[in-house]
Amino acid sequence: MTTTTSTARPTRRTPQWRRSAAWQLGVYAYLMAWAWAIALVVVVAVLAIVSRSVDVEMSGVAFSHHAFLWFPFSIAIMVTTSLLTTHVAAGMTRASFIRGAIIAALTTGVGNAVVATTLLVAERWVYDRLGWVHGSGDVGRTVLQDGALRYGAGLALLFSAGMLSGLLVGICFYRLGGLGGILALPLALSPILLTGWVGMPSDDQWTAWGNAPGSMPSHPLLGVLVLAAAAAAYHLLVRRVPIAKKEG
Amino acid sequence: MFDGREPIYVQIAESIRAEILSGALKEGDQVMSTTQYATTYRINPATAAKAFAQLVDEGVLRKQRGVGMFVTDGARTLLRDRRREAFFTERLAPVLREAALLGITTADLIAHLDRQPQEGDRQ
Amino acid sequence: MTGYSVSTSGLGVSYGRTAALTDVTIDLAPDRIHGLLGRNGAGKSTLLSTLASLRAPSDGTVAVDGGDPFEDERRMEHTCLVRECGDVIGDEPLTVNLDWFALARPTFDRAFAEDLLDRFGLDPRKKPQALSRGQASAFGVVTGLAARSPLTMFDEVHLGMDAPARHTFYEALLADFAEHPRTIIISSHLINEIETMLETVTIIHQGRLLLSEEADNLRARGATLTGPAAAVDRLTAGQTVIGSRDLGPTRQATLFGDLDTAVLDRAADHGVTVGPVPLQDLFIHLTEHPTRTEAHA
Repeated sequence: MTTTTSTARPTRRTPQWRRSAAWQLGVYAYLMAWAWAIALVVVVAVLAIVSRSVDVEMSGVAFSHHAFLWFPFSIAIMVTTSLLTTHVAAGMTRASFIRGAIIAALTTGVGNAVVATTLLVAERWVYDRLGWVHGSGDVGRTVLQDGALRYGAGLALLFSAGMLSGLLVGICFYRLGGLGGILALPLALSPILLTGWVGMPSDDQWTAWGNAPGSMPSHPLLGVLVLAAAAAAYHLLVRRVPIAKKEG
Repeated sequence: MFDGREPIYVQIAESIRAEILSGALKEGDQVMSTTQYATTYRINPATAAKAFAQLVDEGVLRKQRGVGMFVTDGARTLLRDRRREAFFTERLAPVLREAALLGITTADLIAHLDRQPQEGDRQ
Repeated sequence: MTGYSVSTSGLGVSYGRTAALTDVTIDLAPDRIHGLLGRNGAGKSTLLSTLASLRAPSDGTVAVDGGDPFEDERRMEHTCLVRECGDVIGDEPLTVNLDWFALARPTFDRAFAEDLLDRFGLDPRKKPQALSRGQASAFGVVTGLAARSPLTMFDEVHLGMDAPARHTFYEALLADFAEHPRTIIISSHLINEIETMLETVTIIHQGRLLLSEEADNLRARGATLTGPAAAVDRLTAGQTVIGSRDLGPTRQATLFGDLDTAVLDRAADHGVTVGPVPLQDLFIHLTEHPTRTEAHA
């Protein structure tokens, strides 16, 4: 598509949403690299210390799931509250931001799940060599009892829900201000809750609220539906939002 | 710099004409570009361009492509002739009208003019 | 023609129940420098924000380059609004900010931006949050000029900038405008400083359009008469006198409106000199005693 300007520079061929997705992914990737590096060091250190006194009976990596749900969640909030203004003020559309944000968020969520699952498989191998139990916290169950793929899929759904919730929390604060944002929190956090409740491939996969076997019927398709609904809600909330003045 | 009520481009054109008449700008001299005018006097380059266009139309300036604006040969004479014409029709006529109103006769005027320093003494 | 045209029709913008703009209809031709004036809170920033698609109109329509710019990729990425608050990435160095703008805006000239950073004395390794207010404003100017957007708008960017910095801004703006024509809208309180650059003047007052016309036309409607008090009074009889000052026997009267040019031409005969009225004075008068004038193109 050519423009009517007669400047010497060629027209941008990369669509706006792709540029935005790339920029946001850059932000997430940088922070995730640090987070995983730190997590690995911590897990190895804790296991080394604990194993001196007792036989290890639980996965160390599984403990980090909390961090990799809530830390990226908080970055996603920041992405919406500050990058949205910069994006539109720099002349790009809200629509391209939404698309870029959702793609970057889902990519990060899935990426974290892939890393976590890979680490769990590696951890299980190490535990087997050392004769430790790769327990999930439930008596008698191991973390990857239902298969690594299933577990990984569940994590991917959960972490993605966390990212989308972060985006939603961000736009609620952006639109409604401090008090309104807090009041809207339960709604904005519902994707995480719902996904953990009805969207898991296994009944007692790790969720943010513990490993208790679900009494609700659970199916990954429902999880996908929850994610789709969250993305749709984000789209509706951002597509015509007035852009605020930059803070500070 | 712009203390007249006319549009700025008119004032710029006038000041360039004045510089040519006084000899500050000689025939063949290059005039400042529109950009230089704009940045020196903080005016819109389009305004300067308008003034130049008017002077080009009059035959006072000419454009040399890629180089700039120059005072045309004969510009001073051209302006002088026009000014001389205007002197009689625009400046002298009202003075004569007022003289008539005040009852000053032509003879009074001639006598007054004779008393003025002669052409040689005048600048 | 490379700049965008700007027009609004019956534009209204409300924040909740407060109307920031009501029934604003303007038509700004492309490739010209337009001035946007108004008292604090008049609605200038709201108008500029709406043109930049930072918000949608509540009423009426906006057209940039002949069409609605809201969420239109081409129009938005070729429109640059430099706001006083500065829309930069505060915790990344200036040079990373330039990367961002180069990524976002197809018309951005990186080399020109770096040259401007140098002219304003800005260190590209510093972060915006470490800059003084004047430096932050200067950086805003740098990004706005280097964007070379067909529609470029400066919203009170002079705030915090000292006189030499403002001088650099005006100089760079005019030189680049001559080289790369585009549509420029400047909103400023320092009317004296920018008056001679403006080709048109649009005044917003309390959310409504007061006037929008050629700067030359507006100037032609004003005159100051200075001379012996009695002579000045005689000449100004029957015309709209908006101000008057005495210094001993000399009076200076300011006229505004449809002037009797015949009277003004005769002024010299009575020992009265006629001069222009600074746009600032016209502005003060018009916004203290607003009467709706017909908008001229």
